[in-house]
Amino acid sequence: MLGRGGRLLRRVVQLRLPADLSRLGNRELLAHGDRVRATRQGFERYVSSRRGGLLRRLLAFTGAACTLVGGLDLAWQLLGDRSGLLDPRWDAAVTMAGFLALLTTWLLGLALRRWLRRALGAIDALADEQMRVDDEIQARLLGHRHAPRR
Amino acid sequence: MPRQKSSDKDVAALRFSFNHNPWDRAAIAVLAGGWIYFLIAGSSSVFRSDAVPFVVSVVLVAGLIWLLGLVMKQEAEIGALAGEARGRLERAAERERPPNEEQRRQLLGD
Repeated sequence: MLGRGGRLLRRVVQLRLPADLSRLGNRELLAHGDRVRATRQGFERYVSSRRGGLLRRLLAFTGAACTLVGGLDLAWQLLGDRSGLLDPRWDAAVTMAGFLALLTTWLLGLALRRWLRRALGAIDALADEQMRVDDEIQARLLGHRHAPRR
Repeated sequence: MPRQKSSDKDVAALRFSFNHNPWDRAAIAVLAGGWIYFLIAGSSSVFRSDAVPFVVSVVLVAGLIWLLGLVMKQEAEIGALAGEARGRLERAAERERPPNEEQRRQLLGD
């Protein structure tokens, strides 16, 4: 999940945004614009795909189910039957499984949240760069600036 | 239509509101430590029938419920961040003005 996301972030770094676009030739400018657009579209595809959250949702559901069973068992004990609903060993196993599932969900969520925060910055940078490239292309087409053709 | 650059203010606001709470981490560490203690110290006897003190069950289940709440809160934060990312990507796609084929040919001098 985060492997593909990490590669996307690395691609943004590897774009090496040129400070002065007017120094680029037309061919280079077009290629740069295409790369920026392709990277942004990669983010679009990745963010809109829901596969990344499947494992986390499954783990969270498991954790919630185990919490429910553990809570019911405890309520059963509180209501008077000290033996509880489940055998104590099963009770411990269920609550342990719930704890591990929720802990893993939380840790994966931390990683995903960190990635999303970094992705927001990357998306802004890509959007700004895309505007800059598009403006430069339009300016060249209108003849406002004459860049060297390579 | 004038084109505006995206502001960093929104990002800063999100960073602030989704800042980590160190108490959450501390509580999880305590909970995990408790579980490890039970695994090591009482793997054979503590969990057996009456050996488990009632209060331990209460604490463990309360910890699980709290952890579940934490995960749900985190899920809401992630949903908000993902929604923000989708919104920014959509706005970026709407703003883009890629050159068409004719303009490309013109630029390349073909």
